[in-house]
Amino acid sequence: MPLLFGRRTQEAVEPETASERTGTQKQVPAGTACVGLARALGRVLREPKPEILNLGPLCGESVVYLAGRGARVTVEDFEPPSPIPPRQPGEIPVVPAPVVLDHSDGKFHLILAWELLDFVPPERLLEFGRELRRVTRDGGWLLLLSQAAMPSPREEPLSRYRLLADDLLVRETCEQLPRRRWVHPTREIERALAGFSIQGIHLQRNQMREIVAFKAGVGA
Amino acid sequence: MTWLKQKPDPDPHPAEPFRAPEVPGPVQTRERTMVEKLVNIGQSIQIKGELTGNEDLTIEGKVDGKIILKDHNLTIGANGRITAEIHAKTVVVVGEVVGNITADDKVEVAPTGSMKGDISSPRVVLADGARFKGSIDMERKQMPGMAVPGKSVAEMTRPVMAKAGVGD
Repeated sequence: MPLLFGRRTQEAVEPETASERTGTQKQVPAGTACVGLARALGRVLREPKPEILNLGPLCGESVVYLAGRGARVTVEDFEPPSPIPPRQPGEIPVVPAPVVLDHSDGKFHLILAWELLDFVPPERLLEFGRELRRVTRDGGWLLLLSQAAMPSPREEPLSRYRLLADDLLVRETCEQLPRRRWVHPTREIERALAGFSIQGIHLQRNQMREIVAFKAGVGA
Repeated sequence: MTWLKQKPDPDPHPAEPFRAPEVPGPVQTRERTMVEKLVNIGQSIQIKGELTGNEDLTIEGKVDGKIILKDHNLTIGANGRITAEIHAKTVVVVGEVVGNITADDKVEVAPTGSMKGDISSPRVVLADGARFKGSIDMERKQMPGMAVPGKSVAEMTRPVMAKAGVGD
């Protein structure tokens, strides 16, 4: 149906606020522009029924916003892997639990991992990246936000992101226990995302790196 | 004019103002309506199997199986523990649900609610702080009169026309 397709494309191009869709008139704080997300959403929402994975703390409004745009949104409050304890001489090495995203291979068109990467210890970045790649379908997209400048490591709770529009986000701190957070060098992130083609790394005003990656594959 | 001064005899049985006979009907109806609104499954109740009904329901107990409340509202109370497939008009989750929910109108997961499973409903409200693992599908149901994407009107009407002996 060309008419429907055209409308969907129009929606994808024109950012639409969550309050416009829900009809609520509430005061929302000014958000941070997120160009890469708008780009990824613009591509993904052209699919008839895109699958989107939201990792991290739940922001109901964001999930409903994406689902209202025609996507099937899967929510998972993913627990970041714990660091591997240093091995002491004479001790049996501790085998850490593997990083597992409990989803089938190549399921998702878009993965919103938000700040999760910063809570993954450096020695487990590759493992996490491999798992992200596994569940992303060929031609799928990945969005990551990573702190660029702050003392590392430090204790901080995970944040959730409220989606105001396709290219507008508000970061909110969750009432969770603080966890250890690292600042990973860009080079290490690129290594962890092997198999993805990094489309852009934008440094936002709040010193967050917005990383958008694309998984090229056969027919993508 | 003595008759004017004459006092009327006090009526030993004064006429009472007319009162309509008490009709218990409306009161009973009101009570019944209130009872209908308060129907619930208590905290100590456990049900295994299929639960169907034609009225709104609040569950505070445990249900394991399947719940079907067509055109009616289902509330999973704070103490409710449900492991079931749920079909209803509106579902409000304040307690805990493991299973898929299909609602014709709306699904709401309260901040205290916990839900593990897939939601399929045209309207969804997920409160911040709610625990949710699963997927959300807000695709609207296809109405009988609406065109099916990818099918032309001619394709849709062909069987009818063939039956009526028109065309083909």
